[in-house]
Amino acid sequence: MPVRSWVRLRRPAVALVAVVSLLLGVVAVSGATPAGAASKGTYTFLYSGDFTGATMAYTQAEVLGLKVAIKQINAKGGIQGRKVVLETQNDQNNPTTAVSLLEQKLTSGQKPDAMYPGGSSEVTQALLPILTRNKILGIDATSSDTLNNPKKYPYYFGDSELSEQTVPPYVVEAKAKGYKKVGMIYGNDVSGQASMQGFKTAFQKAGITFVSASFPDTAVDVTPQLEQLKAQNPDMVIFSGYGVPTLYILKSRAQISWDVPFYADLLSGAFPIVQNLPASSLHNVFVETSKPFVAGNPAAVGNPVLNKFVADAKSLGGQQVLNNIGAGVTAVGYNALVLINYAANQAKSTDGATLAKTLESLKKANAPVPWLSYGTKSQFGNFYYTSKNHYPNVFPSGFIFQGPGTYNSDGLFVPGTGS
Amino acid sequence: MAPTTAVSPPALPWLRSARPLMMLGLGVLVLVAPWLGLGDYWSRQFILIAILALVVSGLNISLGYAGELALGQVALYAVGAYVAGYLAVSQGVTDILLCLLAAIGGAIVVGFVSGIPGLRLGGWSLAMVTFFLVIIIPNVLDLLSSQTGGALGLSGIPIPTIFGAQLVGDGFYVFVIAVTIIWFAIFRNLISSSHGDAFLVLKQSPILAATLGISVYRLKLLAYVVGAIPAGIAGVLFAFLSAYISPSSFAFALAFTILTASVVGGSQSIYGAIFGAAILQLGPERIASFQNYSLIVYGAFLVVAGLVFSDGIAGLIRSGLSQARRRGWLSGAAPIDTVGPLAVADAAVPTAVDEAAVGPLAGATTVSTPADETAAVIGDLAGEALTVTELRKDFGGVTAVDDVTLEAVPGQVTALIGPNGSGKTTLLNLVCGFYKPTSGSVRLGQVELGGLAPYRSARAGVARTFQTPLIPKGMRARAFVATGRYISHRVSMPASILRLPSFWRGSRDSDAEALRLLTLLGIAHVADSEVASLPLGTRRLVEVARALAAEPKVFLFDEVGSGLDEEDIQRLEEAIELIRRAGGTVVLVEHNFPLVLKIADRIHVLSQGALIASGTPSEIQANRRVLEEYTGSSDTADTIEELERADAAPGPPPAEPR
Amino acid sequence: MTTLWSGLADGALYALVGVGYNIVLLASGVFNFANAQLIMLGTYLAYFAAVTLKLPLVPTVLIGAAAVALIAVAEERLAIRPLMGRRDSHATLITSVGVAVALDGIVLRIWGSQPKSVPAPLSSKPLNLLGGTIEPTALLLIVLVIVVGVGLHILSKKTMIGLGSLASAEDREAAMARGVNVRALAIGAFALAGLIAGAFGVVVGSGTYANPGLGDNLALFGFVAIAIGGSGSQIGSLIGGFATGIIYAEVSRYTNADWPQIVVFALFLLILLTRPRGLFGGAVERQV
Repeated sequence: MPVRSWVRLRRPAVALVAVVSLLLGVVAVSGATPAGAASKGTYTFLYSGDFTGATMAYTQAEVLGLKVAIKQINAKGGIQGRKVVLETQNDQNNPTTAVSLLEQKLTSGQKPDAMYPGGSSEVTQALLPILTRNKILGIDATSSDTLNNPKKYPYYFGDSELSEQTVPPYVVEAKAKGYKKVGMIYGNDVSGQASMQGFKTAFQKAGITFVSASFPDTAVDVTPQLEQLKAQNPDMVIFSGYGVPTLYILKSRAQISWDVPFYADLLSGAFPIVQNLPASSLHNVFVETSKPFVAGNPAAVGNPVLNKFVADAKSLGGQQVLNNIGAGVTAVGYNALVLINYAANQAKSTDGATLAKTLESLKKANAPVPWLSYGTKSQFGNFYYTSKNHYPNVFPSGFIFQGPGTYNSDGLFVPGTGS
Repeated sequence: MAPTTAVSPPALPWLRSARPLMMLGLGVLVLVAPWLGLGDYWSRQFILIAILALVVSGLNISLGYAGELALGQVALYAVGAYVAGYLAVSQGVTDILLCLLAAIGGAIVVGFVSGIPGLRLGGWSLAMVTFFLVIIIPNVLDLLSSQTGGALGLSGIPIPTIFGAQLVGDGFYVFVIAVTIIWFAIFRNLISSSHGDAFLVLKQSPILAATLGISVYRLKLLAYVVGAIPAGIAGVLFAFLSAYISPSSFAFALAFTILTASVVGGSQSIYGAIFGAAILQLGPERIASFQNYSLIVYGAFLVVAGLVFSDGIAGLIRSGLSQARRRGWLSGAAPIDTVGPLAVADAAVPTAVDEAAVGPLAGATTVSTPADETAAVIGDLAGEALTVTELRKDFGGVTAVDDVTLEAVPGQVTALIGPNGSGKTTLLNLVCGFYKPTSGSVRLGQVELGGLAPYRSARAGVARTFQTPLIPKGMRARAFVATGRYISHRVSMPASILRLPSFWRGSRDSDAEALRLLTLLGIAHVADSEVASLPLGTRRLVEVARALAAEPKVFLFDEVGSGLDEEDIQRLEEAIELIRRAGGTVVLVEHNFPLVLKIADRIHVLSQGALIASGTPSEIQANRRVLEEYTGSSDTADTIEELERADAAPGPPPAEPR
Repeated sequence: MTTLWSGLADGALYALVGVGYNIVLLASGVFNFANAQLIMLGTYLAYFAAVTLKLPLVPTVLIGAAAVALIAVAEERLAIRPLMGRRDSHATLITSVGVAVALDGIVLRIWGSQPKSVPAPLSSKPLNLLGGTIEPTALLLIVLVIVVGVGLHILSKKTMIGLGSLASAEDREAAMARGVNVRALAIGAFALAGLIAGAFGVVVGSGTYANPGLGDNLALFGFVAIAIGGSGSQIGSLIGGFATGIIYAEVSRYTNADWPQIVVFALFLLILLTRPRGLFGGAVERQV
């Protein structure tokens, strides 16, 4: 009896200790954040992204790109003499979390000088009002039409093409091949719906019939959806999905022996398809690639900026990222800081509002341009933003369609090197 | 061993009565925090905690109090958010009060629509229905994309207004905190009223609830729908806070966050929701800083939280307090549960010390009255005759009750005896409505009971006690006895919430009546003890008091004497005698032959479902067939086993329907 | 017909998850949300053994089965058992979800977010069967799931272990009092669920790939399977799983992505209102 009652008494005691320590822990952690870490001397760039979820691989690539840019900029003395420091926050692609984390930083006096406001358009959408209020410069690659609103979001710029800007090459291709009817299969989420809308508008404008089928992002198989499309007999099919769904689409396509040409949209195309599918499944499958990142393409060969970028990425331990995700996505992070630095040099200032104004009237850069993505002579596009457009200008000539491939050790695309 | 005569006072009386005030004070402090130097970050955190706490409090009502696992709070939260979002964006309605009203309406409608199929059947079906409700959120939003923006979400929700003035910054903060305080006051008032006790009864035992005349289905539905209200409110606040809502804000994972917050804070508690919400709001955000490891750490956090707080923080504090009290760190005598259930024999009769101790607590009116004088006190019981005519019940091929005809009249004790499995309890269950008769009729006065739902039988005037007393955990004797009056002396829910005079009158009367009945049965000293921890004999008597409180037309006592010692049995005899004299109809199902012979006016003997003899005690005693069939006094081993079982698993009997 | 085959193959996955839920539910009354994550872990271990270690099929299956069983037992010991016998069982929902989240995190940490191909045990050339096409491995999955489900059904209804576990889930105290080794049963159930989840790694993974989102998706559909089929019946989870798979496939064939979920919900409501205890629960009359 004494022993038993002791045991009975202990349990709540232990638990009470646990409560107290947990509460104290929460307080302690929150109190431990150093205030005013961002001194005037450094230039703080904050990256908000998903470090643990489905888009983790993209986060790694973008962060690598930022690190490369920081290394190069700091080697030349920083942005207007201020050393660049990278900070990150794991928003898990959750808008509410992202806002809380940023608010916490702002309240504790850690206002970043500029930031990458999120890896998804939902997060960016949620963060932009805070950026506007605090006059923080923001550059990221979430391509949503609604975000391109300089009036509402004067400090925000996109450094990757809007999804609709990637569409014209497909229309050109369909017309060239004489296709009359185009089908699309897409994941029923934000990016899939946006992508579908872009294609639908473009094809209908070009007088080509457009049909579509969608699958939920919880699907483990998309055969029924493909059957639905197949029954409508399109001449070509565009597919969109992030990660595994891309594989499911091509797997199901093989299973139902459907051999019409399949074109990946930008999202699906960025995915390393060939590593996961037999060559037989990839017959008549094409991905849209950006010429400056295709191995052996004249736009990529001998680009000194790209070569240095790749070398620095490798020296920073980015080999695996280059192999898996490629230089194209990595460049998105790189471009963000390079653009800021370019604008800062022009304005002789690091003030957010001043830089935002400057970005709207950048001086034309001499070849080779300091950023990656649209060719050394800006022949495929440019970042010359205006007060009406905060997204890059992109020309269809910058894209080509090729069989799915892999990335070589430099992160450049090599078509048709499947297993 | 603590003296068993010790009276257990309310746990820290000053704390109990001061708690709402303390919480209110804390609330006011939070309300004015912006002027005490609360920064933007923390004011946002407080708002988010308040929003989560609102949603969690709704779950506490249905899970913690009514005992129904509902995962649908997320859906109701989404309804609130989208109603506000739609009104503000498409209709230009920014008045936050209007939005709140509309959202509450929407949440109530969705609560009914999901609750009706989910609760009609009990068990896991509400969990399942609400689970589906959550997973179809994105689909429904997508189908209504012209109103909701589909997957892309609804952006540009304008700044809310109140009476035409914009609600921004500190203004919005104050509004959110004020709404939260108001809701928690409502929640608290609801729970600390007879309705809260009814919820607890429902959670512990739907059978007991039905016996009290409570429609299990309707009360559960009510609890679930009331729980929908704060979720709808929270949705509105969230929509205006974030100015952007999309399906990803209402993902299934949130359902688990809410459930975890509820359990961690203590589902069966009022303010636990706030603590649970604070931990679940602040914890994961801290964990996000573990970057690549954050999922693993969050998983571990959930496991540890589940293990340590399985009873909730509120539960921990409760057990911590009682522990401290036991060790003498805090004032207040040891509660009676430290006493072994078998050691109570000598404590049954109140002593002078008892009465002295009871006095100040119970008030001047409660002085133990000798049984002889109480006939007048108990008042006239309007007993009605219970007439059972050719009643039959078949289970598959087995006939459990075989064309039984008998009558129990007011002012008499009618006993029903027979060996185990002879159909006595089945007969009681037929009267109470737990079984539907195969044929025949059961009438109470002029009312046909056969086939009525249990709660309708109870409302018609049937009260019963159980072989193993059914007693909700954590309930004090006076509150438990007062549940007998829940239906007969009903105080409306709005009156309880608003603390209208009718509430005060009702609760004062119920309390006084409960105390009077306990005094009548000689157990006033346990009025403030937790019933579930009392010895079996005392629990039986408390049950009898609970049955009396309903002022029924017929009393059914099921094996009321089994497992009791001489003292308890004597007390029970007196109680039954009282009821008989007051004109009540008493039906006694009993093993204890001597007891039956002593107190019954008429005895019916059942064997294998059929009535084999009826008569006065002396006639039965002389009946050879009865003596052959049924040896008489109850089997000792049986009694002990029953007692042990009752002690091992107090509360609901094993045969509880799920 | 191809749509029907694909519905059956998906349904087999859902049924497999449902069967795993039921094994534990039947033996200890606990809803183990981490079960789908155990299957996901099985697919990764299949990838690890077959691709990284280049092992042949049999050792791959054995390693997966043994390792996942071990992890399931560890889960029972650390996250479930300390809560057994407490009065509210909801804490086990939270701890098992905690285990699920942690497993997601561990998998991401070790293998990253990119999906991994698990080599198919049979040819990947589609079969033409009854006017539709299906991959041989998917057919194997369907057959194996039916065999396991029916086998477990017989086990739970006809053997002492099964009956003991039923008793234990119904009323732990009473079962203990009658000499049922409740603890051993719970461990056994987790081990068995883990064993099955691990052994199926190859067959499941070759169709779905080993990917970090698999656990969450399967958990959702497994729950749907149980809701339709009625919890506590292995035959019910089979039928529930296959029915869900077929409905999803057929509805997806003709509508957009929003409808399958809603149609299944409507069906569930219909079942609930006509067969209150799910398709395979018997009606029980109330008693006191």
